[in-house]
Parts: sequence; C-alpha cells; structure tokens
Amino acid sequence: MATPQFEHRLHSLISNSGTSYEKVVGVSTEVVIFGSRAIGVNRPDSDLDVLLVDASVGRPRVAGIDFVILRSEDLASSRWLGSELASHIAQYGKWIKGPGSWRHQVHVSDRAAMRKETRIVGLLMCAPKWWSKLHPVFHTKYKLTIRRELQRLDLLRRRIPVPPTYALDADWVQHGSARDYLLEFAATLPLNPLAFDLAKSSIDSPTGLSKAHH
Amino acid sequence: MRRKKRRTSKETIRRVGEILEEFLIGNLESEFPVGAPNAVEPAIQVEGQPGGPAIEAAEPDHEVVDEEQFDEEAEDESYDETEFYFDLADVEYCVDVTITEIVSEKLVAGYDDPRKPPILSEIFQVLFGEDDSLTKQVEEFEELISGYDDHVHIDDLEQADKVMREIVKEIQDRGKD
Repeated sequence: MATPQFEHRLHSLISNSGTSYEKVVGVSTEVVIFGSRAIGVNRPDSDLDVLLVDASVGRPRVAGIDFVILRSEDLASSRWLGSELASHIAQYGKWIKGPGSWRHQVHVSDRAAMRKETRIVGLLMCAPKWWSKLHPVFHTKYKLTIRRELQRLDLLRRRIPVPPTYALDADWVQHGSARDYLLEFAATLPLNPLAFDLAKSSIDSPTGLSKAHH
Repeated sequence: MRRKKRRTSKETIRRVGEILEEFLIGNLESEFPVGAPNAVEPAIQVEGQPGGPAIEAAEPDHEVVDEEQFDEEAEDESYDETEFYFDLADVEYCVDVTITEIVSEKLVAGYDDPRKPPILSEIFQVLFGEDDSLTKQVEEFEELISGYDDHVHIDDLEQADKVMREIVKEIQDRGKD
C-alpha cells in the first residue's frame, strides 16, 4: 500500500492546478503511483507518474503529474499484462486506491522485449540520417536514451520488470563492468556498422550522474 | 514554472514559421506519406491496433489470458503493421532537427543544458506563453506523434501534419507587418 505522503502529494498537485481531486481520483477504480517517486529515487523536479483506471474525465492536465489512463477491461488484456509498463507498475507501484488484483497475472511477454528491440534498432538505424543536423544537446539525449533502452531490453529479455530510469542510471554508475556486457549485448542486435558504432558510443557516453550522486 | 504570454518580435515569429514549414512539415512530408495530395492511403485496416496514445489506447481484450496468450500474439504478428505504423524514432528526429534550427538561430535563449533538451511546446511557451492557442496546438501535435508502442499510426501522423500546417498558417498571420 501507498504511504499517506503519496496521496497528500497527489492531492496537493491536483488541487493546486484548480482541478477537483474528487473528479480525477474519486471516480477512478484504481489509482497507482509508479515511476521514480514511487521508490524514492526521483529528482526534485521529477513528475509524479499516476495510473488511473476508469477515470471519468479524459487525461487530466495537471502540472507535475503524468497520468496514464486505462479502462478496467484493459487490465485483463494480454497486451497490457505482458507489457513493460504493467510489469513495472506491478513491481514498483504504490496503490492509493483499488484492489490491484491484475498485478498477480503480470509477466514480461516476448512481445514487450521485441517491441523494445524494434525501438532500439529504429533509434540506431535512423540516426545517421539525422545526426549531423542535430544540436549537441540532442546527441547527448539520444545517447542516453539508447544506453537506457539497451539496459531495459536486457532486463525484459530476462523477464525482469524495468525499474525507474534513475534507478537504471544509478545501477549503471555503480557497476562499471556492465559496459562490456552491454556492448556484447548490443552486438547481438541487427545493426549495420554505423548504427553499432553509435550504440558503442552511447554506452561509453557519460551518464550525467556521478557515483557521489547516489 | 508558469510562463505567461510574452511579446515576441514579428521577425522572430516569421522565422519560426519558416523553420517549422521547411524542417518539420518538409521533413514529415519527405519521410512519411502525409501532406501531399497523393498521400498513400492504407489499403486495409489493422484490427486491434489503436492509433491513439500509448496506454490509453491499449487494446481491450475481454478474454481470459493464460493459454490463449501465445495464440493471440501469433495472430498479432500476422498483420503487416508496416502499412500503417511508422517508426517513432524518425518522427522524433524530425522534430528535434527542427528544434535544433530554432535554437541554433538563437530565436529562443537558454536551451543548451544537455541534461534537459527542449521540447517544442516548451519553446512555444517561451515564445507565445503557456495559455496561447498556438502552444495548445503544439501540445496537441506532440500528443499525436507520441505514438503507440514506439510506432506512430498513419492517421495520427496525418492529423499531426494537419495541425502543424494550421500552426504555421497562424504564425504566418501573426508575423505579418
């Protein structure tokens, strides 16, 4: 179960945005906090990630909150139960409301891993066409994304729920030996030499975090 | 932090419009079957592949999962998704190349923090204010291209292209002397 501090934060963010807490949360059958804040590895400016089931309104716009909206019938679908997000929420989510019984049926599916592989291959294979036209801040962004996505794919293939991004980064900083492992892992993907070079460069790229940070 | 409506020079507004037209609409049009009158129409509709944003559009499935899981997944694979879905990465690169142009020409300041690369709606917040209709339209554009399972459906891309054309037209109007 969630500690009261999550509910308090959710309440205050929604109320501060001028939206009715009852209208957003009261009618939902399940409300779950997930992501970095759920396990306390967030930065001060991290958004609160919230799953709402059967929300009566569309996706609410509230500063500081990223909502994911599902219908209760979606919770039983194989697509949802096998997804990266479902396994993440089942593992790391903090339930504010609702039974959450679906979490016991969650598993990381082959499809979730395949989708992740497609994502990474897409990022790497498309990159050469655009790379020279991108500002250096985007080079940093994409390299960071690629390294994190490789870490996630590795976990998904091992049927392990993916932790919040900052936890991935912290793990990367703490385990320097993971670099060679991830490089070998990237070599198994269907990449051309240019794309593989970018994968390598992404793995070797600074994380923006220091060991002291964690 | 809330960004209120601010005054941006007409010259800047005009140039932002030109960049959006050349780099965003231009690249979307050259990379995807959108915009042009002869844009490719999907031949068949893919069943059970919603075009909406990621989780909201998760496929409803009222059947019990367990044993049927693999059959369903095998069935999913038999559809040729490539007819309707495009790589999210290409769309992201298109948008970021456009932002690169806006930042490189210093039409907005303060976007060189490598830890937090800008997104288009933030740039519009700076240029026009958070509550401006153009900023809202850009947010709609970003929602449309956010994709589903790292792919963007052709219908969403077409709609995104339409929204961006409206934005450019409005910017052109505002940039007139």
